[in-house]
Amino acid sequence: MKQTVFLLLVLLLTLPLASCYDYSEPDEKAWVLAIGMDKGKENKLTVTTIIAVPKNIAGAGGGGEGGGGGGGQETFFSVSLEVPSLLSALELLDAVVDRRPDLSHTAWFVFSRELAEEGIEAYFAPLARFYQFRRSANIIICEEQAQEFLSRGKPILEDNVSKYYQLQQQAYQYTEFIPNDTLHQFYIKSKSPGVAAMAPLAALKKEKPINNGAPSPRPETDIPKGEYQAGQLPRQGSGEIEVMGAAVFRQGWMVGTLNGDELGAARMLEGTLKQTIKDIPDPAQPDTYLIAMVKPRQKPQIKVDIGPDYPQISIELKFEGDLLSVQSGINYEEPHMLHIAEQAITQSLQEDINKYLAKSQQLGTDVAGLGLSAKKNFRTWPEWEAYDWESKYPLASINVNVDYRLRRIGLLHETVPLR
Amino acid sequence: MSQQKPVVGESEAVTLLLTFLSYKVFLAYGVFIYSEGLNASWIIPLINTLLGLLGVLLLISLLSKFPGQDLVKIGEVLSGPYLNMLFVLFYLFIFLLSGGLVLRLAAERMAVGFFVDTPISLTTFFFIAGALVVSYLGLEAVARTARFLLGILIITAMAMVIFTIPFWQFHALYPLWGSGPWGLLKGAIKNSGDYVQILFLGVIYPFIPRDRLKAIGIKSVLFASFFMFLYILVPLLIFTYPSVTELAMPSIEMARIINLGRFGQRLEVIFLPVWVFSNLITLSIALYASAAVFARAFKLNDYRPFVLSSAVFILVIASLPENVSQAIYYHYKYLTQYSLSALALILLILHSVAWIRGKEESKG
Repeated sequence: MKQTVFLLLVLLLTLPLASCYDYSEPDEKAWVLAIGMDKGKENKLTVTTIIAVPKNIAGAGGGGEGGGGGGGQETFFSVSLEVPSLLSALELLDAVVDRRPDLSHTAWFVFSRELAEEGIEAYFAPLARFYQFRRSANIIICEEQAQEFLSRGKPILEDNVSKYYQLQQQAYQYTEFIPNDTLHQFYIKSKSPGVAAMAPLAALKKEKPINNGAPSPRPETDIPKGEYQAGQLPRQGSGEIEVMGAAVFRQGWMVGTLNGDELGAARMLEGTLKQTIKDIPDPAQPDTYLIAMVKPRQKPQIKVDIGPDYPQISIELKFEGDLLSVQSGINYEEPHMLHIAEQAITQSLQEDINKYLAKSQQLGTDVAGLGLSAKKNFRTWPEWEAYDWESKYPLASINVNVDYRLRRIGLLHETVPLR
Repeated sequence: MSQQKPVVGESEAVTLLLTFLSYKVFLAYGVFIYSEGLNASWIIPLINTLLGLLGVLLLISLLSKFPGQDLVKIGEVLSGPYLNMLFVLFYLFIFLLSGGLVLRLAAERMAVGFFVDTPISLTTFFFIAGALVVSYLGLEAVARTARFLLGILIITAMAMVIFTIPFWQFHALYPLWGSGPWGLLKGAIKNSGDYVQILFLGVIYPFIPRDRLKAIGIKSVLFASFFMFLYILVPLLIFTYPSVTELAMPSIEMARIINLGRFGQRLEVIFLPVWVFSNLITLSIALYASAAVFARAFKLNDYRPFVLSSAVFILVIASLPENVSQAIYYHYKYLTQYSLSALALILLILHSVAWIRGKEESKG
C-alpha cells in the first residue's frame, strides 16, 4: 500500500514537468524583430513593431517581387501604435495581433533622428531592465521616421528579416563605416565618464537616383568614398536601407553625426577596426589611386598627460596591409619604391584621424574613448570624476603618429604598361 | 545528529562548505560590494578572503581542542546551557536566514527571467520539496549529492566566465584604487559576513576526518574566495563601473550576454540547471544544519524530526520580504554585514573561557 501511494505521488510530481504556467508554443507567438520609435502624433511616442510572418519565411524560396522574401509573400508586417512609452506598445499589440507578442528576438531598436536629438535616455532605460530584451541587439538612428524606415526596409537576399538586420550590422567586421557598438556598448558608454556613446546611422536611399539620372560633368575633385554617410550614398539599386556613419551622443542626446571616414578614424583610435580598404591619391600621379588594405598591427598606444589646464594626448597607431591596386602602373611593388606608397597611405590615414579629432573636439564627444586611457593617471574614482574629462576633452592637445607597413603586394610583383 | 562516526570525506566536506559559502555568486552577490569599492570592487573579495581565513582558523582552533564534538556541544561545555542558548539562536539565525533568503532569491531569479508566468509560490514549493528530501536523507546524502554535482558546477561556472572574455574591458580596472584604500577596507569589513557560513564546519566536525579539519577549513575558504573574486571581477570587466551597480543579479546578466555568433546566443538556459543545483544543495545544507542544531540544542540524537519544522521556518523567512529588493536588502543587512564579526565574538568568548579553564586546571 505504502509503495503504491509513493508511486502515485511520484507520478503526480512529474505532471508539472510539462510546465503548466509558462507553457508556450513558438507558433503561438508574434516574434517582434525590430522596434522603431518616433515622436508621437497623438501620444508621446509612435512605436512601430516589425513582426515576422514565419509561414512565409519557411515557405519562401521561389522567385517573385514580394517585399521581404521570396515567393512573392511578405515575410513581415509592421504595426505602428501611438503610446506613452515603449512597453505600452507590447500590451496594445495584443489588441491587434492574434498571437502573443514576444520581444526576445528583437534585433534592432530604431530611433528617428528627430527623437534622438531630443534625448533617448527615457526610452532606452527599459531595454536593459526588461527581461525579453537582449544587450546584443542594436540601437540604430535613422534619418527619417522610424515607422517609414522599418516598413520600407525589406531584405532582398534574405527571407528572414531578422537575419537581414543582424548581417547588415555585422558588416562592421569588413568596413570602417559601420560602428560595432551593440546596445550593451551603447548603454555602458552612455553611463561612463571618459567615453561617449555612438550608434550606427541609417537612412532610406535617396528618392532620386544619382544626378537625377541625367548625365553631368564629373566634379573637379573626386569625392572620397568615406565622405558619405547614410542617406547620402550616390547609388542605384539594392534595398532601401543604407547604414553608414554614426550618430554621436552626449548625456543621452544626439549631438551630431560622423561620416564614414570620421567613423573609421574613431574606430582606429578605439582599437575596434578590423580592416578597411583605402583609396589614396598616387603621390606621382594624383589623378590616379593606390588602393590598399589597412589592418591594425597592434592595439593603439595612447598616453595621456594630465596637465594643469588641459590634457596632452599622444597616440601611436600601427597598421599593416596589402597593396590591392596601382592605377598608375608605377612599380611601387619594388622594394625601394614600397616606402613611397607606405608614406602616402600613412599620410592619408593621419589626415583622416586629425579630421576626426578636430570634429570630435568641436562636438565635445570622445567616442573613441581617449578618456579611458586618461583614467590611468588617477588614483581613485572620485578623483577621476572630479577631473571632469568631458569638459577637458575639447581643449586637449592631441598628437598622433601613424605607421603603416605594406606586407603583401597581391598576386603581381610588377606592373607592365599597356601598349 | 544521529551518527557519531566520520561519514563525510575530506573532498565531500570541502564541497559542502564551498557550496554553502559561494551560493551567493549565482544570486545577488556583488550588488552592495560594487557600491562600496566602485571600480576596484574586485579587491574587496581579496581582503574578505583574509577575514574569512581568520574566522575559519579561529573556529578550527576551538574545534581541535574538543575532538569529535560539535560547536553546540562545545558551547554548552564552556559557557553553560543559558549563554549557549543565545549562541545556538545565533547559529539557527544564520542557517535559517541563509536557507530562507536563498529560497526566495532563487525563486525570484526564476520568476524574473525564466518562469515569468509561474506563481513564485509554486517555484518555492518545488525548491523546498527537493531540498527537504535530500536533507531528510541525512548529511551523507547531502554530501554525496553535492560532490557528484561539483564537477558540473565548476565547469559551467568557469564556462560562463570564459565565454564572456570577448566582452572584457580592462580599462574598467582604472583608477586602480576605486573608492580608495579606506573605502575598500570599509567595504570589505561591511561584507565580511560572506564567510559566516563557515559556521557549518562546526556542525559537521564530528563526521569529518579530525586530522583533516584544518585542511578542510582552509581549502573551503580559498576555493570559495576564488569564485567570489571571479564573480565580482568579471561583471565589472563586462559591464564596467558605474553600469555594473545597476544589476540586480550580475550572474544572470553574464549568462545573457554570451554571444557566440548568430547561433550561440540565449545560453542562459544551459546555465540554469547549474544555478538550480547550487541553490538546491545550499538549501539542503541550510535545512540539515538547522535541524542538526535544533536536535543538539534539545539534546536529541535524531535530527530528522526537525527537518520539516526547519523547512517551515525557512518558508516563513522566504515569505517575509515583500519584494525582491527587500530580499536582497535583508540578505545584505542580516547576513553579509558584520555577521562574521558576531561569530568571531562568540568564538573569542568560547576561546577565552577555554583558556581560563585551562589555566585553572593547570593551577589545580
